[in-house]
Amino acid sequence: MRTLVIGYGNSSRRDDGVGWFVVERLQQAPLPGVEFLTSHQLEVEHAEVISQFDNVIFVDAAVPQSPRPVAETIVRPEFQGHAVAHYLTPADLVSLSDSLYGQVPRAFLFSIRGIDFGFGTGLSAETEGWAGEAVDRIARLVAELRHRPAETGQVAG
Amino acid sequence: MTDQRTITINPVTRIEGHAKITIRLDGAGHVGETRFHVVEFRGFEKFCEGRFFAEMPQITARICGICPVSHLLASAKACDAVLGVEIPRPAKLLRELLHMGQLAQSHALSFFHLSAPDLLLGYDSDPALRNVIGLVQKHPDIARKGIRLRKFGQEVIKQTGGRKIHADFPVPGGVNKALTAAERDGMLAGLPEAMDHAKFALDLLKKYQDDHRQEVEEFASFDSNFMGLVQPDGSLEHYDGRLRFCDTGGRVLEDQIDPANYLAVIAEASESWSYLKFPFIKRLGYPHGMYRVGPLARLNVADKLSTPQANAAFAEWRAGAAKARRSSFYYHWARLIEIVYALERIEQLLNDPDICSTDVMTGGKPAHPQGIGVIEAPRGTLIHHYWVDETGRVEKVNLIVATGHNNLAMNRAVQAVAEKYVNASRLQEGMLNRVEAAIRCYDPCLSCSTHAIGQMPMIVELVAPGGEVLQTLTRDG
Repeated sequence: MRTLVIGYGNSSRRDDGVGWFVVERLQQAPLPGVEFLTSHQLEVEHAEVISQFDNVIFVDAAVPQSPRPVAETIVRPEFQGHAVAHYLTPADLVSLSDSLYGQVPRAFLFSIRGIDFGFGTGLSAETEGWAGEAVDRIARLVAELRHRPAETGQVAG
Repeated sequence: MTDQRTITINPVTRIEGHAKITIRLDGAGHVGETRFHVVEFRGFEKFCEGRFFAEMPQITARICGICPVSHLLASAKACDAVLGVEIPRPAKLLRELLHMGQLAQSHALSFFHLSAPDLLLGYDSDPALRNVIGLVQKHPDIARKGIRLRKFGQEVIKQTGGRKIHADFPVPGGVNKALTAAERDGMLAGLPEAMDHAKFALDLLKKYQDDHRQEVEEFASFDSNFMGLVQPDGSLEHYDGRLRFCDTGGRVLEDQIDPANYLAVIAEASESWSYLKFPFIKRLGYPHGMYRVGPLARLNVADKLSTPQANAAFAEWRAGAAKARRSSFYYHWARLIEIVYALERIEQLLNDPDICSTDVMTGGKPAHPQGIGVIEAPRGTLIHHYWVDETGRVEKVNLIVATGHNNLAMNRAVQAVAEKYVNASRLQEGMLNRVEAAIRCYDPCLSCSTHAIGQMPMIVELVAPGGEVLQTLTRDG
């Protein structure tokens, strides 16, 4: 079973780069069968990439007003026609994977609250703490997915 | 007081960043004043002050996730100028190769995934399906070709620069990686398929233009000047070259301007209602000095293209038309001709005997207090201008991006389309989509264009249904 973790955001806008931070931390852990990708934003060609995996875990920053510091949601294929710019959302991407390649990976989104989106490369202390929590939860999710039949594919929010 | 209503389309879909279009209608439902607002706020120019100049390519590449290569190249060229060095020929070839990959992938995204849904599904089709998913459902083959073409461009970037996004490959004084024969051969192998897809798209668009001749000719059509880089013989140029300006009839206004002297010919105005600056041709004044950049402008100012198949397509572009094409719709056509050019140029570059040379870097210390780098990014002319002290510390930065150059023109495009299609008495979604489509012709990248800080006043106006201004909030820059 193959799993892909995609951390995305602008790593020069402090907490917006939390996805990159989480991926770097996860790469230091022994997670067999897991591959990693970092990107400034999600783009159409990522649809082909995710179509080749059983599970995809997206990691992104959330606005300061987000209700939970680390939110884990299931991503379902849903193309937001009104919201498409040069980038895509995780739901757009899963939808494209389905439409173009007939593959719908189990997909999850970890949204980590950001505090500081100013120019710079380090995370705020708060977001770095929440990123650590996300790393632990993603590692547990990856282990769980290894033993979960593909067709059930759901986790608690 | 004239009765007014305001239609606001916010956000503009399928463009980068945030924007707002406001169309003011009079009591009779006729279009009055229209505006294309940019409300995104970035601060890269200020942010860069105090940094070491050699960091600039990596810093400015983070302005944007869609065209980082363009910023890398313009920035590296500005840094070369600070060093006062001429980079080795192989490095120049490799930078252009990277640039052509970027041009192909960016134009492919713009055409296949942002604009084709309008053209192939119809401006008035169900907005829920008027997107790439709808395109996949109705024309799966076309959507896949678009993906493949874009992927080829991305692969050129990856093979040349080491990674697809934010390749740290162009550096002051050259590039930091030579090309291997295996990388060269891999790219050459992918070219035929990419060219098939590009020509397919070109034929598709030409058929659309034949079938909708009047709409295409009149779509957001207006008088403007044009600017672009050209080679000394007037050929299309993207990486180097000199600036040429033409008027709306295609007559040359200024030619062979050293890009380092851009401030002698271009000035920038600002307006209270937009974060975007408004560049204009100095000697024509503001706003009469409005000019357009990007694919349409490049083909309007060029005399020819230096690759055979693209030049044949360019001959069709020029046939039966005034020298300069005015309709904004023709950005799409120009974009596709440029994809053909980029692919041919990639082949020429890959077959150059110097392309795998390891002589790709020259050294130096800051020798000049200023450096200016200018390239033709996919969306148009991109200017990076750095002022540095004797240690190489950046004191001031000026960036003019394509979307900024086109700011006045995009406002004119919105006005032209709104006047033609918007009727408030029977307002329909398709009318507003056409207004958005006018903006999409320019494929603006607003996250790139709104990087200034501290200079732009902002006004928030509250307007009653009757047109009465209830409150005005003004913030100085």
